[in-house]
Amino acid sequence: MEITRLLRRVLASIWFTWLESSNWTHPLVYLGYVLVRPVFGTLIYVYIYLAFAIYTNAWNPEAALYVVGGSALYQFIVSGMSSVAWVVHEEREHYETLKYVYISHPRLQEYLISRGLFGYILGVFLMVVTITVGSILIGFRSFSLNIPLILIGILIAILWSSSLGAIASAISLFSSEYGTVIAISFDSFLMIFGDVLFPSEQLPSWAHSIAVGLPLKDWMALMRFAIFGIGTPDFSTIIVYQVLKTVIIFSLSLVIFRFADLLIRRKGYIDITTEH
Amino acid sequence: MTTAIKTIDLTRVFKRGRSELITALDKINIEVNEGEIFGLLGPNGAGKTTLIKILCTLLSPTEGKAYVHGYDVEKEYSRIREIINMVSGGESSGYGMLTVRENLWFFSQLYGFDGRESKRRIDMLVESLSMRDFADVRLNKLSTGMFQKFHLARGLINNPKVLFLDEPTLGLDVAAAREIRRFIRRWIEEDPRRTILLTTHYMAEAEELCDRIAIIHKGRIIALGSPRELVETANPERVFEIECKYEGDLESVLRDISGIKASLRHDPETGLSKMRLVLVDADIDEVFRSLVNKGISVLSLKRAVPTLEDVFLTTVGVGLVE
Repeated sequence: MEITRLLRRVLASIWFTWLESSNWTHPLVYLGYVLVRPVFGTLIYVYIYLAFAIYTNAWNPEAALYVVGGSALYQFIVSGMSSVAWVVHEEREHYETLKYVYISHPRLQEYLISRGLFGYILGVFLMVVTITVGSILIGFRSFSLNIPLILIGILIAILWSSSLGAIASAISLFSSEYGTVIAISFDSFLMIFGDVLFPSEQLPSWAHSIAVGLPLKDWMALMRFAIFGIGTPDFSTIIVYQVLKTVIIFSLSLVIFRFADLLIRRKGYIDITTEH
Repeated sequence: MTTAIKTIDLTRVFKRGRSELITALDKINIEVNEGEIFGLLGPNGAGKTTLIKILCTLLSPTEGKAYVHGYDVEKEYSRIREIINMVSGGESSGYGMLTVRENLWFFSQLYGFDGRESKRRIDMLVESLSMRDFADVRLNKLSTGMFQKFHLARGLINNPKVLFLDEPTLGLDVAAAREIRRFIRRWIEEDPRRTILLTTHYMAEAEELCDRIAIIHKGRIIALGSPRELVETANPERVFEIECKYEGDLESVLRDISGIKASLRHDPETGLSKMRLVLVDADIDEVFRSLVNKGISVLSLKRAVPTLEDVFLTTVGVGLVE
C-alpha cells in the first residue's frame, strides 16, 4: 500500500517536472533545445583534440574516446543530479510553493529525488546522442555494448548521484540566494574529481585521494568498459565498491537531510525568499 | 469533546541581527475543540502567522508544547501533515503554468491518492467552489478571486481534519470574500470532526465565522471567548461614535487625550472623519470639551452598541485597519 502511494508520488513528480521544464514546447523542439549545450560541449572537446592532433601530428584515438565518453556520461549524471539540486531554489524562490509541498509530501528528500528522476530519463537521451555524435566525429565504430552492465551502472548512478543532489539541496535550504551556485558547485566538483575529461591520477596526490573516495571515478571506468570496451576493469569489484559507496552516500544524505530539516524548522527557513 | 489543537506555554523567539531577540509568541495557551472555527485576531506582527506555522510543522517552537489531534508538532510532524492543510491569503500556492485541475491533481498525488479518488475529489471541489469555468485555465491567468478559490481547493484536497486559514479573504472584493466565507461555514458544518483555525484582520469575518476568538497582541493572548462573550466585556455606557471635521492631524490630537482608546476612519471625499471612542478612564463631557478646544468641529456624537472592534480597541489599544 505504502509502495503504491510512493509510486504515485514519484510518477506525478516526473510528469510535473516534464511539464515544468518543457513548458508546453513541442517535444521535438524541447529535445533540440536540451541537446544544444551537451552536444556543443562535446564538439568543443573534439575540436580541441583535432586541433592539437593536427598541429602536433600526434593522434591519440584512445584519448579522444576518453574525452568524448567522459563528457557524454557526465551529461547523464549532471542532468539528474542538477534536477534534484535545483528544486529547492525553484520552489522556494520562484514558485513559492515549497512550504505547501513540505506539508503535503511526507518526506521532502523523497520528493526532491522524485523530481530529479525526469532529469535522469533526459540524461539517458543526452548520453546516447552525445556518444553517437562524438563517436562519429572521432571515427570510433567498434562499440562493445554490455547492456546488463550499462543498466546496473545507470541504476547505481541514479542512487548515489541523486543522494549527492539531496545533500546539495539540504545545503541550499539554508541559502535563498545561492541555491543555484551550490548546485553548480557540486557539478563542477564531480567534473574535476570524477575522471570525466582526464584521469584523476594527473591530480595532486591529495586530490587524487578525494577522487578515489568518490563513486564517479569507478563508475566512469565501469561505463567506459560497458559501452566502448575500453579498459579491462575488474567490474565485479567495481560494482561492489559502487554499492558500498552508494550505501555510504545515501546514508549520509539521510543524516544530513534530517539534520537540515530539523534546523530549517528551528530557523523558519522553509518559506524564506530573497528580498532585493 | 475532542481537543483538535492544544498549546502549552508556546513560545517562539526570533533572532534579529547578532543579538536582538524578538518574542513573536509568548507563553501561548489555547485549546481548540474539534468542530470549532477558532479565530485569531490581531494586528500585523501580533504572532498569528507564527502560531499557524508552528502548528503546521513549518516552524519549531523555542519553548513550550503544541499538539494537533494529540500529535506533538516537534516529534510527530509526519502524522500531523497527513491530517492538516493550510491556506494563506495573498500567496502563491501553485504552479502558474499548470491549470487549476493539473495543480490539484499534482497535490492530490503528493498525498498518494489513487487516480479515481483524486478525480472525484477534484470534481467535487471544482463544483462546490464554482470553479468549473476556469478549472482548465492556467493559474497565471486567474484573477485574485479565482486564485483564492483554487488556493482553498488545494487546501481541502486531502480533506484535512484541521484546516489553517491565514487571512483567507485578503485582497478579495466583497462578493468574493462573502463566497469564500460561505463556503468555509458550509465545509465545517458538513462534518463535525473538522476544525478550522482562522487568522484575520477583518472583524466582521471573525464575528461571522468564529465560534471562539482569541485576541493576540505582541505574542500574547489578551482576550479569549465567543464573539458574544467578548462583546459583553465592553461596557455599552462607554462606547461612542463621533463624526467630525478637522484639517489637521486628528490622530495626534486623539493621542494627546488621556483615558480613551480610539479608532479613526477618514472619508477623503467628504472630508469627514468618523471616530469610535471607548472611554477607559475618562468622561465623555471632558473628551468632548478637549476636542472642541483643539478646534475640531464635532458634527455628531452618539452612544454606540459595542462590537468586537471596541473590544479589540480596548484590549489592544489600536484599531484594526479594514
